[in-house]
Amino acid sequence: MSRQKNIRNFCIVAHIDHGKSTLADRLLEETGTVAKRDLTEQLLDSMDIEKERGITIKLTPTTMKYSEDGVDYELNLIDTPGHVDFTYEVSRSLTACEGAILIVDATQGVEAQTLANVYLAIENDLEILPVINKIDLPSADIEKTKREIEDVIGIPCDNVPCVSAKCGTNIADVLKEVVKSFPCPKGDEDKPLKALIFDSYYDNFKGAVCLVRIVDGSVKKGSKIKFWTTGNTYDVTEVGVFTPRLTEKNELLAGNVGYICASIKNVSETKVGDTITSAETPCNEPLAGYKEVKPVVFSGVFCVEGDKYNDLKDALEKLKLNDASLEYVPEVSQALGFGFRCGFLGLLHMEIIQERLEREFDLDLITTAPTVNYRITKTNGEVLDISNPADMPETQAIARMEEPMVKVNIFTPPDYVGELMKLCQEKRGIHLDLQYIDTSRCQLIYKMPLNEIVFDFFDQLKSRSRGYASLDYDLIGYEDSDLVKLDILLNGEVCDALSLIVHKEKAYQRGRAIAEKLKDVIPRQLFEIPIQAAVGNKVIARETIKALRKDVLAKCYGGDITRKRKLLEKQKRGKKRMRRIGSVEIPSEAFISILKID
Amino acid sequence: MDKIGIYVHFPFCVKKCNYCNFNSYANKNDMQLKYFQALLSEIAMYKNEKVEVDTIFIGGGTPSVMFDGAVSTVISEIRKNFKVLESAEITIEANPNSITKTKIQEWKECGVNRVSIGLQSANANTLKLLGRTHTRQDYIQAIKDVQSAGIHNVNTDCLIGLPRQKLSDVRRMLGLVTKLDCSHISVYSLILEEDTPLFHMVNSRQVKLPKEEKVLGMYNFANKFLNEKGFVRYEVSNFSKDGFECKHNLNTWKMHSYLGFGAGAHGFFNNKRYSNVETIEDYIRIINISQKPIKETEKLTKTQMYEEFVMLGLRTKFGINIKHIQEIFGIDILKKYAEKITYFKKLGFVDIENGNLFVTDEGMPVLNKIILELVT
Repeated sequence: MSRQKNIRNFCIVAHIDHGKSTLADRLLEETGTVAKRDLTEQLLDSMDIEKERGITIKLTPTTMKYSEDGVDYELNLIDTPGHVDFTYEVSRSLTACEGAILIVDATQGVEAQTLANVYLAIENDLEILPVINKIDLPSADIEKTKREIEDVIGIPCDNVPCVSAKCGTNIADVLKEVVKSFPCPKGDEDKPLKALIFDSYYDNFKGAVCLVRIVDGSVKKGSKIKFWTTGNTYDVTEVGVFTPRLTEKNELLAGNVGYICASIKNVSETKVGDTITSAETPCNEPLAGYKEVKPVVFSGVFCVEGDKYNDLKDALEKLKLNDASLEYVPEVSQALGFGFRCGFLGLLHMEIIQERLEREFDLDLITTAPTVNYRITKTNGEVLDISNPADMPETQAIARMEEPMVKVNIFTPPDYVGELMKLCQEKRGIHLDLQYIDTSRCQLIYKMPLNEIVFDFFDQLKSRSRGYASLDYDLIGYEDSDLVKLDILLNGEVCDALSLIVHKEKAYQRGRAIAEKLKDVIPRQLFEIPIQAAVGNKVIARETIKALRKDVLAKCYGGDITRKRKLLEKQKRGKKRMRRIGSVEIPSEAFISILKID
Repeated sequence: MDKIGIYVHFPFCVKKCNYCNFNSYANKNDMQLKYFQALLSEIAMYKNEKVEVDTIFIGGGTPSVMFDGAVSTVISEIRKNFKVLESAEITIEANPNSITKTKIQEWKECGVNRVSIGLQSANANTLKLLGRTHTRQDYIQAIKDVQSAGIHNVNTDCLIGLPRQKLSDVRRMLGLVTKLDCSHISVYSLILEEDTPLFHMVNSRQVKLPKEEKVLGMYNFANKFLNEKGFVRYEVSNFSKDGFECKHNLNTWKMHSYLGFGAGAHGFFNNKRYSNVETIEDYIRIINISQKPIKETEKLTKTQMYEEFVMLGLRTKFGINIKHIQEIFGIDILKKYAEKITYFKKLGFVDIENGNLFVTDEGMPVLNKIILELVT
C-alpha cells in the first residue's frame, strides 16, 4: 500500500486550443522527464494531422518522476481525446485516473466540450483540479474565469494554479497541487490481475500495444493473460511504461500505468474498456463500463481514379489496424464504381480518416454526403437499419421511419444567441433550454436530428458565431420522422451517389440548392443537360446546363507542339477524374461540392 | 533524303504587346549582334545532318526589327550548311511599322518568298489597348510595299475575341485584309495568358472580353466571309487562297521534322521534340562554349506519337487518314472509337471522305472535345 501512496494517476481535460498539449509538455520539462532542448515541438502529439491543425486527438501517456520534500512520486499523465466523437474513449481514460486537471483558458472561459468532459470526470468520481491558463495574454481575466468555474462546474477556485503554459509560469504549482489534491490508487497487488485497457495501437514489431492501468494484481513478461470480452489468452512478451517513449520494465503492479504487448495481431482484439486478467487465476468479474463502440456517421468513400480501389482497400485495412472503431464494407455505386461505405464515431473522426487516407496513402477521394443510421419498419413488419440512401425501400413498403436524435449543447456569447437559435430551428431543432451563465456566456440546449448535425451544422455554427460558439452533442435515441429519399437526375438518369435521405420538409430546399450547385460545377458538354431533383416520381427542382459551343485552341505557339500536347494531357487527366452517368461526365469535384451547401 | 523545315527565332521586339507571353524581349536590342553571331554558330552545329530543307520560317519576336543584313546572312548560313530546295517556301514575320523598303529588298534577294504581317486589329483604339505600336495605315503601306517588291504570298495575322471587339470590327478588319489581296489570313482567337498586362486588366475589370458566344459568332463569321472571298479554312485558324497554304505550318500539323534555331526555339527531329533555352543571355552563353543550347528533349512514345498525330491532323481540313493510322500505330480507329465516331457523325461534327476522318465546320469550334475523345 505504501508504494501506491506515491503514485498519482491523472488526466488533463481541456477544450481544443486551451493549451492541453503545451501544459503537458511543460510538466514533462519541469519534472525532467524530457530535456528542454527536445521540446521544440509539442512532444506528445503524434499524428501529422494533429500537429498541423494544432488539435490533439490522442496524447501519448507518460510516466514522470517527481520529488517533493524528499519523497519520490510517480506521476502518470493519461490523455483524454479532446473531442465529442470520442466520448466513450474519454470515459475509459477517465476511469484509469483518480484525478483530472481541468484547463480553462483565462481569455475564453468554460466551453461546451470542456463541460461535457468535466461532467464525465465527475461521474467517474475523479478529483478535479482547475488550472487557469494563458494568464500572460492581455485579455486574460482570471477573476472572471474563476467565478465561471465556480458557477458552472461548482468547484471552489480559491487556490487554483494560474499559469502560462506557453511561458512556463507557475508550472511548479500545478505539480504541487497534483500531489496534494489527487488521491493515490488503492488497488490490491495480491489479488488476481485486473487491468483496464484505455487505449491501444498497432506496432509493426510488437503487434497490438495495450495501454493499461493496473487496477489489481501484477503482470510481467511471460504472464498468461486473458481478455475478458473475447476470452482470448496470450503470453505477455513485454511490459513497460512510457517516458514518453516505450521503456521496458520487469513488471507492472497495481496502481501503475503502462503498456502490455503479447504478440496480438490486431487492435480489434484489444478493445478499449476491456479487462485484462490472468489466464490462470482470473478475477471474479470484469471492470464495469465496457461498451462496444458503434459508428454513428456514415459515408461512401471512393477513389477519384477508379483503378485505385485496391489501394483504398489496403489503406483502410492499415488504418483499421490502429483504429478499431473504423468500420467499412464494400459498396458499389453506379456513378462512382467500387468503394466502401465507412462508419465513423462522428464528424471529426470521419474527417481525420478521410484526411489520413488522402495524406498518408496518397489517395484522391470522393466521399458522399454523410448520413446517419435510420430505422425503417416495413409494412411486412421487417425492421431495417439503413445508412445508405440506395438501401431505402419503396415508399409504399414503409410503415414507419425513425431517425437518431441528439441533445445539443451550445455555448455562445449572448450576441449570437438569436442567430444560433435561428440555425437550430432551421435544422429542425426543438428548444429545450437557454441559460445565461454570466454576462458574456449563454448555454443553449436543443433536441435535434443527428442527420441535420452531420450536414454542415458545425461550419454554420462557427460562421454564424464568428467562431465563438462551441458544440457538444449526445445521442438520445430514435424518434419517428417523415423522411424521403431525394434523387438527383442528370439528363434523365438518377445519379445514385448524389441521393440523400432528408426530412420531407427539407427536400425542396435541399433539392434546389444541389441543382444550382451542380449547374456551376459540372462543365458544359456537347449537349444540353437537364439537372432535376426528384422525390419519387415528382420533380421538385430543375436547372439546365447549356451545351458547350466553343473549345478550340486557335493559336499556333510557333511550333511548340509540346505545349499543345501538355494541354491535351491535362484534359486527359481531367477526364480520368470524371465519372459518367449515362452520357454525362461529372467531375469528382461535383460530388464534393454538394457537401457544402447551406 | 528526308525533307525538313527550319524555324529561326528572333526574340527581339520594340515593345512587348499586352497579350503576349511568348519568348520575346523589348529593350534588349543592344544584344542583337551577339545573338546573331550565336545563331550562326548554332546553325553550323547541325551541318552534318543529311537532310533537305523544303521550308524556312523566320519568326519572333519581330524579325523585322533585326539590323539590316541579319536575315539574309542567316539564310545564307542555312544554305551553306544544308541543302535548301529550289522550291523551298521561305517565310518571314514582320511588324507593319518596322518594315522598310530596304529590308524587303534584302529579303527578296536572299530568297524570302512569303511575308507574314501582324495586323491583329484594324481598330485604332483596340491597337492602342493591345500595346501595338503601328496604325492601320502602317499596315496598308507595309502590304503594298511587300507586294510591289514582287512578293505576292502574303499573310496577315488577325485576332478575334479582343476586348470591346464587336462583330462589325471583325467584318471591317477582314474586309480590309481581303481588299488588299492577301493570299493567306490567320484568324486567331485571343488566349488570355496568365501574367500578361492584359490578363491583369481583365482581372481588375478595366476591360472586358467578349462572351464566348460572341467569339464563336466572330469565328463562324470569319469562316463564312472568307469562304465567299475565295479562301478555304485549311486549319483551325488558317485560311488561304488555293495553293497558298503555309507549307511550313502544314508540315508541322503533318508531323514532319523541323529544326528550331534561336532562343526558345522548338524542334522535332528523329521523333524527338526539343526546345532551346529561352533567355537571350543563356542562349549566347551556351553557344559560346560550343554546346547546343537545348533545354529539354523528349522522345515521343508510340502513344504520344498517336496522340499528336490525331491532335494535329484533325486541325486541318484533310483530317487523319484511317489507313495510315492503322499502318503506323496499328490502331483501327473506326473500330476502337466506333461509338464515339458515330456519335460525332450524328452531331455533324466529323465526317469521313476518301478514307480520311476530318472535322467539319460545325465540329471545329469544339475540336478539343473531339480530339480528347479520340485519344482516351
